[in-house]
Order: sequence, then structure tokens, then C-alpha cells
Amino acid sequence: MGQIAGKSLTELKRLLDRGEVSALEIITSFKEQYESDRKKPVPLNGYIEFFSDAEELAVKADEARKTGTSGILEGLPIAVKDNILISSRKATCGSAILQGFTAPYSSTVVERLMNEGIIPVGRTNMDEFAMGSTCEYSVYGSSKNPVNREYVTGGSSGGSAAVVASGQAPCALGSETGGSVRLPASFCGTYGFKPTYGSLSRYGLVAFGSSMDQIGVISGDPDDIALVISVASGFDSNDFTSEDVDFSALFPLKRMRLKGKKIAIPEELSGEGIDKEVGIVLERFCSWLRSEGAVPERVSMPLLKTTVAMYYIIAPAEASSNLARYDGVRYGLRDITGNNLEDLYVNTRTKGFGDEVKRRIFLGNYVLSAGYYDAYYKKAMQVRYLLKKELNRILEEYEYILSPTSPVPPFKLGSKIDNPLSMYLTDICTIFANLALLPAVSIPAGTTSDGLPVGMQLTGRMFGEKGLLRAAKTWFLKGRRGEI
Amino acid sequence: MKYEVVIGCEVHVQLLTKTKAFCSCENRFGGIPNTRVCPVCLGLPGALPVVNQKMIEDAVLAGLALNCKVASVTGFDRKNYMYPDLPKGYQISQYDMPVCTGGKLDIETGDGKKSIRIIRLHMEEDAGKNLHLEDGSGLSYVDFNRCGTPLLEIVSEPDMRSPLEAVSYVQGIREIMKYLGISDCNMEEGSLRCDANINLWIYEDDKRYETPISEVKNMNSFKAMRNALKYEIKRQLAEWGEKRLTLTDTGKVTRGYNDRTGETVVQREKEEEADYRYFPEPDLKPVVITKDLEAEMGKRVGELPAAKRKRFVSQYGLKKGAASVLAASKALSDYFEAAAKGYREPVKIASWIITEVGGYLNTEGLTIEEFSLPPENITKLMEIVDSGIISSKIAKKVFARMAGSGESPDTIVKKLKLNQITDRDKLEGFVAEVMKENPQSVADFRKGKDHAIKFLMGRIMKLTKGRANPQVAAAILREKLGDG
Amino acid sequence: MIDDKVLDSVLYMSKLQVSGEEKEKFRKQIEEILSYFKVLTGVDTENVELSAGEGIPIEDLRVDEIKDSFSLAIIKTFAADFQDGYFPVPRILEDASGGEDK
Repeated sequence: MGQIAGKSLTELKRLLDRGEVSALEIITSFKEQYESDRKKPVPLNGYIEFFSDAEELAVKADEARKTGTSGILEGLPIAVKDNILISSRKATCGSAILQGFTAPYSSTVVERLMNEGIIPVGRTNMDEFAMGSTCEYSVYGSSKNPVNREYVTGGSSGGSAAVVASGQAPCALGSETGGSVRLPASFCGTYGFKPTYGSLSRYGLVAFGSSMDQIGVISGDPDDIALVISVASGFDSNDFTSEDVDFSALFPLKRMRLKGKKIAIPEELSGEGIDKEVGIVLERFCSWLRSEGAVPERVSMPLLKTTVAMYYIIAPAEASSNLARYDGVRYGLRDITGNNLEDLYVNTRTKGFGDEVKRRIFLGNYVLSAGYYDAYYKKAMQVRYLLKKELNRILEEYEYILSPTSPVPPFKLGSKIDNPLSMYLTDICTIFANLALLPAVSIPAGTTSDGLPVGMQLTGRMFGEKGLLRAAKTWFLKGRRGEI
Repeated sequence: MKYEVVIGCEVHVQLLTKTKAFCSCENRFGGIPNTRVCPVCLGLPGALPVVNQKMIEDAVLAGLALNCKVASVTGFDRKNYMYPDLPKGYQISQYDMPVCTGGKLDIETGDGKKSIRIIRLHMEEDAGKNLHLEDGSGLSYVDFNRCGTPLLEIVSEPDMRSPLEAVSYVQGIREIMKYLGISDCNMEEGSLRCDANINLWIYEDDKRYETPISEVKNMNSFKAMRNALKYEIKRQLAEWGEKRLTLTDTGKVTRGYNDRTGETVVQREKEEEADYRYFPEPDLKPVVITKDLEAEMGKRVGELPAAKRKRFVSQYGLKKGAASVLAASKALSDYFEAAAKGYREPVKIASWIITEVGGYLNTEGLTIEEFSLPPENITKLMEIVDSGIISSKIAKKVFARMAGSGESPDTIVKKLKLNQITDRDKLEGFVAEVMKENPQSVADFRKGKDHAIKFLMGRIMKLTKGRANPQVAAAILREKLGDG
Repeated sequence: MIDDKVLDSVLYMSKLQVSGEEKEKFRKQIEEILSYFKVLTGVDTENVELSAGEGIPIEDLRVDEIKDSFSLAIIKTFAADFQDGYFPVPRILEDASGGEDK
């Protein structure tokens, strides 16, 4: 059987289905991995909470497997980002303002997975309300990069990437608004997938930028992602922005014949502004694509230079409204030291939100307010429309858009924390997919000379998840054969 | 001094849908606080709104009844402001894509008919309720049962020139909404609320001066509305005399009407005017209203109460009072017309429906829509009374039974044997007649031919169309034949 | 670029407070971000009409049928404060929303 922790969801499923291992052994093994890391001088801090009853649930799953009442994911563990609700579990979005909040309902994605027997084993760390690119803006402190603990995991789903990359979970759910799954996946050396907007229900995913928010999956194996998406996707009557897609046949993934496929590499995301070592990995990835018979081509897409600006107008605008509900009236933090209603609001929110969240609420209210709306919010929405049009046109001609996932390799903890704008610019490669609603995958494509992971990103057509994940699988198989 | 009163109204109408605007909680007035709430209407993290189909249909119906243009695509926006009764920190409303625009409503004035133009009709959600108890706790208490109730907001042009006209206008809106059965428009319970914008155009030195507009709120009855507006005219005249302030000096001021004092007091000055930061609701896609649906709704609107009242008087000869009662509700007027169809005395049917059906619904607490008795059964019952089979007193008994059980009047009359003649005097008459007409049989019986009595009974039954009570009739017959 | 009046009014809308010395740092950060947004002005959006996108036909919307609401017991599991079935807030003095005095 070998060691359990470190195996993928798909491998564990095979072992469970064959009866070679029990759910209890699996969960215990991941828990031990987590516990032993916690004792290290600098723990990864990937989990905010590892559920104390996870082993009990594993025992029940083993019983279900015996009695033949099991689902297709019965007894398999998954880690869940702290902004995706699980009924009767805490959920804080890495924020003090949701202190003491217990979810009275489950998100649709978690519910669909649990209906097939999956066991959420813990809540993972994140930038507060998913606002951040490093997982440093968390009330629980930063998560550390498993490859080198002096480095950031990337964010906002840093905890999810860290637990997967360190073998504390085979697979994890994260969430994206502007690259929050792909970026940490890239920094931690795992696969990270953001589905097309609408493929997965957003019900029970705590809102940040509603027109872009989407749950994503992090794993070391593209088949895990396919398995999770195949179960969790499709229309949800609680989310009318979800789409009636059928990805039930996504798993298992076949490899992709890349021969003759044209792949666009945006000049704006591959030349100036891209770290040299990242550029080298991109070149190597292109050589591989060519060796598979694919045709990568440089294409100019000038609008990609404006995506960071667009995103940091639209997402904060939506966030300023989405976060107005944290007012101390109904749930979460409630500061009643003041005298009146205004005090309740201001004290609760000033105490409960961290600096980055405050900046974004401010920005959002600013760009929506009378006198600035047209110059900022409306303008950004208009450019977004042009971007969508442009990208969809390019994707008619090209199979994928290829770029690095991040313009820079993982950087040291604390190095950008006081410079919001430079932090925002880390998102330049990922954001366009969110703005244009497109599916995108980050692939662990190599390392820097220091051994830090570098991810490459493929972006596909609307609802083209299958083609993207199959391409990722093709790369994955090559890696397994030791060809990279 | 020559002056004109200028009034425009914003009317809010709560819809009578079964569920709330954006969630499946029951939509009903009152009840135990916070028992009709869910993640959506409590604004919990991760919850998403889902549009109620019936709300859109009702809005289209109302718009068509007010001669509006119906949008082919209608969209929702967020109106951002924080208040304890507004759990999300924003209200889902409509800003630049309202469901209906450009209508009119005719009102009767002293000078005849007048058209009041309607700018727009849009949908939004109601807020919860803040309760202020004199409990010395320094607290207010929030109940979210009302939160999410669907509202129509109907905005008029400032076309009204007196408090009386304003009241007629709101009464007209109320009549139509009630008629369509989409709202009960109860001002005391707040299911119809009206804010009036009022100012004066003062003509002096060949110039027109416009006084500052007051937006008057808290008018909880038509009487309150009349008094509040009269008070405002007086107050604005006095203010003009004193300060000569114009609209450009101070803009619009919100004033609340106090029913106890009969005065209005300032609630919000202009400088505090809120910036609502409207933007398109990213959680909801716009809704498409097809021409087919519009046509279907148009058919459902049909003839409006004012026209119907006139027709009922001319076509059926009803008195004005009866015509008004029946024409006030579409369901009731349809019921009346179905019952009156093919019956020669519609006045009688009308009074039956008003007194008997109305009384029954009242005691049972039902609406006419919930009344399952087919109107044809009322017609049949009338016919049975007309043919003298039962008295109208008995008919009331039959009605009470058929209203409850749904049986046809024939069945009930038969079952309860209400059609049998048991009255001795009446039966004696029939016996005498039969004996007189059949001397041979009488003679036969008296000769000992017992079977002759059967023949005579047969004659009696034929004469009474089978309604004679056989036991009683036979006893009388034997008595008269000298057998008793 | 952001004067005190704008800063204070947006903070007021945000229901946030940024105190004393932090205020200048906050203002600088925001100004830097806002000036970065100028990159958008170079994009010609003259003829871009924002469409609301693809709509949903009425037939596909939620049918008007009642589903269960929360029980008071469930509300207590997540409420920050819940008294006699209500959510209490500091007393609202001038209530413009049509609240009830009892």
C-alpha cells in the first residue's frame, strides 16, 4: 500500500474501492501529517482547523462501504477553504469579523460532494475575504510555502495549496475572484483549476466579487480535479448564475492530442515585466508543446495591460456592497462599546476588518459613488466588455491562451505586504480569465534555479474545461514518465 | 397671492405572492418575529437571491393595467445603504432597466376626468421592521419577517394639483391592484405606502417661484394623506411669506407626518442626502419578457374596474352600489358574470353573490380565488328556487352545504329530501284531486281490489312530479278511501 | 487628489474609521492605486453600450412555492445576539423607515 499521505484523491479512491485501505487509515494518515507539521518550528499553517470528528466520519464511511450504501467519493478526504460553507462548521473567511459564526447551511458544491460521501477534513487558511495574493492577510497569520517556509504560498487560497503540496490533504477546494486558486497552486507546485464562471454553483461561497467568484480545485493530479468537477458542477436552483452544464463524463481524463493545436501566447504576458527565470520555464514549456506537435504563437493583446486596473475597480466595487452585511447586527463580531447604531457599525467593522479589506471597501465605495462612477466603474465595465469580446475572438482561432501563472516566482514573506499596488500587479497573468469568465488551469511546469515552483497557465474557451484538463493530464503523464 | 399646488407620488405596493421576492420563505403579514427567514433574507454569508416568477408576472400585470410600456428585458440593481432592517446592506431594486415605464391613470376630479402620467413602475424588496419598545433597554429590535417581501414602486409625474387629486390617484392605484388581486393594499398594515412630493408654484410679479419640495412620508391612511398635504400647503405658504426660499436654495427635504399632531416634521435635510451607489446586481441575470407573455398578461388584465362598473349597470341593470362591489375584484366580477350567464335575473344573482357568497367567505376567512364552488351551481340553485321546488329560505341551507362540500344543488336537494311534499294540507289537495279524476279506481278499491291503491298512488306521484312523500301520501289516501 | 472631504465621506459610506497617523498612509496607498487606474483612459470606449447580457426567460425563474424557513433554534446557533426572538440593535432615535413604536 505504501504511504497514504501524498497520494492523490484518484489513487486513494482506487485503493478504497479495492478494499486495500480503509477511510479511517486515510484520514488518520493525513491528520498525522498535519499534527506532525504543527510541531515544527515554523508550521505551514495551512489548516485553520482540522475537524476533530473527521476520524469518526471515516468510520461511518467504512461502514457505508461495507453495507453497499456508499457514494463514489465515500470516505475520501478534502480540505475546504474557509470561505466555503459547511453546515454546522465554523466559517470565518480568515477574518475577525466572522468570529464565532457557525454556518447553518452547506454550500452547494460541498453538499454535492458530501452526498457522494466525501469527508471535508478541515478549513484552510486564506487572505481575509479572499483579498490578497500571498495568504498573508489572514487573521490567523500567514501560511508558509511548503517548498521553502520563508516564502509565501501565494493567495488567496494559500492554505489549500499548502496542505495539498505538503501531503496534508490529497485535494482541496479553493476559490477564485482574480487568480486565488491558480496563483498559490503555481507557487506551491500543484495543479490549480478555475472553472468557467457558472460551471460550479456559488451558493454558500462567501461573496467577494460576485461577477467573478468561482470555486476552484487544487491537487497534484488533474484527474482529481476532473473527479471533483464532475460531481460538483451543473445548474443549482439556489444560484441562477450557475449554468446547466454536464461534466459528469469528465473523469477519468484521457490525454490530449496536441498535434496541430494553435496556442496563443500574449506578448503582454511573456516579455517585459516577466521574471527571467519564469521566462525560461515558459520557453521550456513551449518546447514541450512543439514536441507534441502544438503550434504556440505570440499574439498581441493590448487590453491585457489594463486587466489589473479593471479588476481592482470591479472586484472592490462588488466587494464594498457584498461586505456591507458584516454590520454586527445579526452574526459575527459585534462591538457594542459605543453609544449608538453608527458606533456599532463603525466599531465592529473597523475592528473586524484588516487593512487590505478596508482598502478595498474604500476603493469600491469610491468608484461607485456619485461623480466617480462613470470614470471608474462604468469605464472598467466597458473595457471588460471589450476584453471579453477580444479574448473570445482569439479563442476561436486558438485552442488555448498560454502564459505564466505569475509574472514572478514565489517571493519572501513580508516583501510586498506594505505595497498594495505591487501586490496587485502579481495578479496580472490570472485576472483576465476571471474578467472574461473563462476556465483556466495552472500547471506545475518547472522550478527556478533556487528550486522554487513556477506554474504555467492555460486558458480555454467558455465551458471548455474538458480540453483544458486533458491538456494538463498530458503534461502530468509526461512528468510521471520522468520526461521533465 | 396666486399659487398652484404641485404633487407627485411614489406608491409602494406589497405583492401577495406566496413567497418572498428572492427566496422561498412565506410572504405573509405579521406572525411570530423572525420565523419566516432563511439564509437569503437574513443576508447570511454565501446566500444568493433567486427571482420569484410570480413577482415579475404581477409587475407586468400591474404595468399593463396602468397603461405602461413593458420592457422586453428587465434587470435588477443594488441600492447600497446600511440600516438594521436591511440585512445585506443593500436593497435589490431596479435602476435603469425597470420592468415598466410611461403609463397613466385616469382620475375623476371636480372638472371631470384627468390623466396622471406614470413615469415608471419597478420591483424591489421590502426591508424588515424595527420595533421600538419603551423598555428602558436603550435598544431597538429587528424582525426580518417582512424582509424580502416583493414590492412594486410606482412613480408618477408631478401632475396632481390638490391633495384631493393625490388621494384620488392613490385610491385609483389601490383599486386596480386590488382588482387584479396582486395586493390587498392595506394602508394601516403598510401593504400600500405612499410618499408624496409636494411644493408650490407661486406667481408673483409675472414670475413663477417654486418652493422647496417636501417629500412627505408616514401617511398611513387616506385621511392622513389629505391632512398631511393640506398641512404642507399651509406650511409652505407661511414659509414662503417669511423666508422666500425656493427649490434652488434648499432642494428637497424629507418630512414625516405625525398623525397625532397633524403636522409634518423634518426627517432628513438635503446635505445628508444619501449616495446609494447603484450598480447592476451581479447575482441576478436580467429577465426576458416575451411578447407572448405580455399578451397573456394583457388578456388577464382585461377590462378595468371603472369600465366594468359602468357595463354592469348598463348590461345587467345592477344598482351602482352592487356594481362597485362586484367590479372591485377581477375574480369576483368573473364569478358573477359566469353565474349570471344564461340566467334571466342577474340582479338577483348579484345580490346572492354579494350577501350569501360574500358572507360565507367572510366567516370562513377565504378569498374569492380560494372559493371552489363553480358559479354554475349558484345559477342552478336560483333555478331550483324559481321553479318553486324549494323556498329561498331553504336555498340558503342548500348553499351553506354546497359551499362546504362542493356537491351540486340537485344532489343536496335530493339527499336532504328537500323536494318532497310532506305538508298534509297540500297532499290532501292532491289526493282529493286524484280521487276525483279516477272514480273507477276509487270504486275498485272500495270493492276490495287492493291493487287499485297502487294505481292511485302512481297518479299522485305523477301529479306532484314525484315529489309527494310516499308514506304520508299513502296514509292520507287510505284515510280518504276509508281504509284508515 | 483625495481631499479630506472625499476621504471622510467615503469612509462614512464604508462605515470604517481610519485614525490619525494611519490616515495619511491610507490616503497615499489609495491615491497610488487610483492613479494606476488611469491606464484605462487610453482605451476607447466611445461606442461601447453596456448590455446586461443574456437574460433568463420568465418560465425558467423560481416557481412561487413556499419552502421551510429557519427555526428560532437554528437562528440561535449563529446569531451574535438574539433576544426574545429579535435581533437587538442600539436604539434608533429617528426612524425614517416606518418602524413601529409600541
